[in-house]
Amino acid sequence: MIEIRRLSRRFGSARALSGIDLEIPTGETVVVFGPNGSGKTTLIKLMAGLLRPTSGEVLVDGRPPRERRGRLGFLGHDLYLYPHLSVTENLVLFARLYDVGPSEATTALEAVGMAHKRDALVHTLSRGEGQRVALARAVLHDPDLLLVDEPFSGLDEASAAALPALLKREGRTLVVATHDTERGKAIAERIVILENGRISAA
Amino acid sequence: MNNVRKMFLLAAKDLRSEARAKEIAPPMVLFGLILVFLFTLDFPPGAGRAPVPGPVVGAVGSRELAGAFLWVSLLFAGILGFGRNASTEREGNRIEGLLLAPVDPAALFAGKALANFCYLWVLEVILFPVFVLFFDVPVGLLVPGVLLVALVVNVGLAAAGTLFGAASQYVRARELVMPLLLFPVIIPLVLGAERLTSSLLTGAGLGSQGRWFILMGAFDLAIVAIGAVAFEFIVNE
Repeated sequence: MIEIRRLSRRFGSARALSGIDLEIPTGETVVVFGPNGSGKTTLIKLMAGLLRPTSGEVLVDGRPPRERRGRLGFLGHDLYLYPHLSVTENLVLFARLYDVGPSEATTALEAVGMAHKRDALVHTLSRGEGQRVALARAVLHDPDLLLVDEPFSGLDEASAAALPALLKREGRTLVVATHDTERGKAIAERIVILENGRISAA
Repeated sequence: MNNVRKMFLLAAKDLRSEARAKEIAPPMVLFGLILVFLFTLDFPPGAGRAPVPGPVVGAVGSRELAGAFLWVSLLFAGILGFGRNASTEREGNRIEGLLLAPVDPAALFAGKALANFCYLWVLEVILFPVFVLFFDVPVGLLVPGVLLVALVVNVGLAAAGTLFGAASQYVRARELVMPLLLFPVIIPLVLGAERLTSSLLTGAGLGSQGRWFILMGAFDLAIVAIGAVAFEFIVNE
């Protein structure tokens, strides 16, 4: 379960999020909609523990997100891949950092349909291909909580259509931030709308 | 996998990337060679093999000066590598990918420092022979003592370079900030390396220089400990 209480975050004098209260039960799929600058990415990064709140708190199963790192997956705008390593080398690196075997890296790569590019250096991939490898990186340790920011951007129609099946699994809490309302609604069990750093509808 | 193995994994990741990209070691080596060559221009011809104390440059014997030239060249060249190595994690926010993984930040620091340690050895393997050649110093005086000095220097320099390289990534004018942070801190290392190398070059050896090794060793321990603790606070936001 994710518990967000009175969460606020400022960047200098700019207020990105203000007084967010939200509870997400384990296993639920929540889609966060909002225009650019509404605070979606900030919210997702706070839930991942990549940002610290200015005030308020985020708890994942009763603990700060950084204490749940091994069970948390994150896919954001940045791919977090090393351009001069091959696809396999990148995934095996992260598999070992997450204490899972190289076979999980291979399985994840096959699941995203990129097995044929396993030996390609990451800097030779297209944006969409890189996004799919990054998805494999995010799920190779089979996280219980998956946080995803704008997953549909950069993907072609076929890849975007296949994405929900890759993100969802029984018992996994999934939080997706997107401004793609059509695709977002298709996977959402609950919708949260952010406007100017506040929840306007949930 | 424990954090020691993750440290080696992260260092191997950096070294493998560098083996393909060649963005760190070649510029370091080239810059080091240029500096050694430029310093040679100020060095009196034949001074390297002249009887001690040899020709005097200002108030300093020329062989003593040669040791300083060597380590200043290595330091300046090393800074290029430290900055570039740190920037590989800043670009594309890759450091976030590492911070999300269940890895102790001390292991992240140690992995980056180990890669920098290796880059320094690569630099020295090329620069030491060129130094001997250009400054015409007797190689028997320098080796193997200088390798021991280099080992002590490299540990502290790699750790300090990793720490301040990371710190400078998140501020404006990072190229200026890093040397401003690094140089004052590593004075004990540079001073010790220069004194020890001068002692080697003047034929005095390292036998009577134990206090410098103690000072440099203590610096190494302190900066490694500080880096392991402080790295988390530097790279988080």
